[in-house]
Amino acid sequence: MRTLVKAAAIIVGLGLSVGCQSKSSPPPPPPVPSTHEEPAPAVGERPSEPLPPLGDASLYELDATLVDEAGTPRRFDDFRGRPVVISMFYSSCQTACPVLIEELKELVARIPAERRDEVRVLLISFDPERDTPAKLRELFAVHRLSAPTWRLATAQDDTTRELAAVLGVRYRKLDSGEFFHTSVTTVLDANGVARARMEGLRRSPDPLLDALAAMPGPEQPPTP
Amino acid sequence: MRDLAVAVSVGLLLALSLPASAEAKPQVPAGPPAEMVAIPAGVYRPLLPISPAEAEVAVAAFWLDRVPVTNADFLRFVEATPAWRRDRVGRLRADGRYLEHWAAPDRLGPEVIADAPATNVSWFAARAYCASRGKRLPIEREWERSAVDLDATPAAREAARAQVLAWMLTPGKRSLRAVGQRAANHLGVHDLNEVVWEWVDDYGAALVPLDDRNRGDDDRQKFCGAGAAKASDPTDYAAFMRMAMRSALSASDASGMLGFRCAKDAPS
Repeated sequence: MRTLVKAAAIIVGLGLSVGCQSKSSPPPPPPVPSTHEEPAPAVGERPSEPLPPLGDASLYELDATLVDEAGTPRRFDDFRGRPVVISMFYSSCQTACPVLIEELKELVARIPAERRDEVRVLLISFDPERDTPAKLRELFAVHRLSAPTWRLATAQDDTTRELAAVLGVRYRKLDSGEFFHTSVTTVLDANGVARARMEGLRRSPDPLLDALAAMPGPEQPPTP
Repeated sequence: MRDLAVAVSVGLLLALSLPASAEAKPQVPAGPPAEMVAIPAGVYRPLLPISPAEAEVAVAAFWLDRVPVTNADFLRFVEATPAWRRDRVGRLRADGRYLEHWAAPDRLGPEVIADAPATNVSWFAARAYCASRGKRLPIEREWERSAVDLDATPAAREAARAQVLAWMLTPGKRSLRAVGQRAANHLGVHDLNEVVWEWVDDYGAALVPLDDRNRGDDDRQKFCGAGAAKASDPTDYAAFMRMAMRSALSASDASGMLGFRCAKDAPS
């Protein structure tokens, strides 16, 4: 029902928008089919795409297979055991995606040196057709990305859709071959549980860095 | 002449030796199974087209379930695939309300109408069910193309919209009833917009009004009516509702008024 409340809140906003400009009168808004009481967002607020709540489930439950920049099939949960910063993109995107990559580079640079080697940055492309392993390897050169910290990968369409679903990324392939998408960066802990998430670009990465800092480091062998 | 006689008798023999069902088979491409209806290729007019070029979107022919998947159907699926029992499924794929209306993980109980649409089913669960039947979830353009008759007369369109709104005004569970009880629509599909909201496979593509690269356009959203002014039909209130519903969903969401039906590619 929570979803219905959200939907109703959004539609009330949209409905009023219609009323403002439309000459025909729209039908009255239907009552929210719920008894759940939750404050509706202020009218006129931009309807945003709400991110799903951070659950405590491991994203590795997805059992997804990726193909990395070397063309090697790789299980998503190969990343288990270390913190992972994960986002989605596509390489022919000329605008938002280079910004995303630059921002992630800045994020990596701000991770304390002793923790940096442990972290992986995984970028999954929406566009397996055009983002061949060769194309992804090119990006390493173009953006001066360093292995093994950076991993660029694609997946089959079905898997891509599931990954986007659990990451809260909304996307649509346009007939032009471009992708309309939201930028969401998620920090996964060693077990694949999402600990922080940021939507949009040009935001402070502090919550992501805080989440990384809060994670226990790799297990040290017990000192005698 | 003798050849002809031989040919005729061979033909007769063949006809007699073949089972009756084979006679109806030749060349005609197989139609959908009885529980599905063939939806011919058509068009969908997105409510908020992303670009003028996509004001009208082609939809290929496909097959769609005549009615939503029912509680009884879904119970059989859960019995066959216990990983989808509510007490076994992972929270990544289904939230805490998954199948919560059932009396037990493997029993509907007296409160549940067996032939009513299965609700409280997440996107992952709906996908898994369809896959188990060799099907898939319909995508948004397929669902909308099946629900909205673009060729309807103004009066028929008005009547259809009134019906949808009447359903939306029916409080929650009272509208839950057995599937297939009402007349099918112009394409032979039952219960679209009449019993429950339904999942589409690409719900995650709904309402992405702005890409990050267009952030400068954000203002467009702040001005009253700017979004609706671009809507293909700002009077189609139900379509706004469906779009808003989809845009608010997450893949693990289970909701008491959200069900699904399956689709399948038409053989080409």
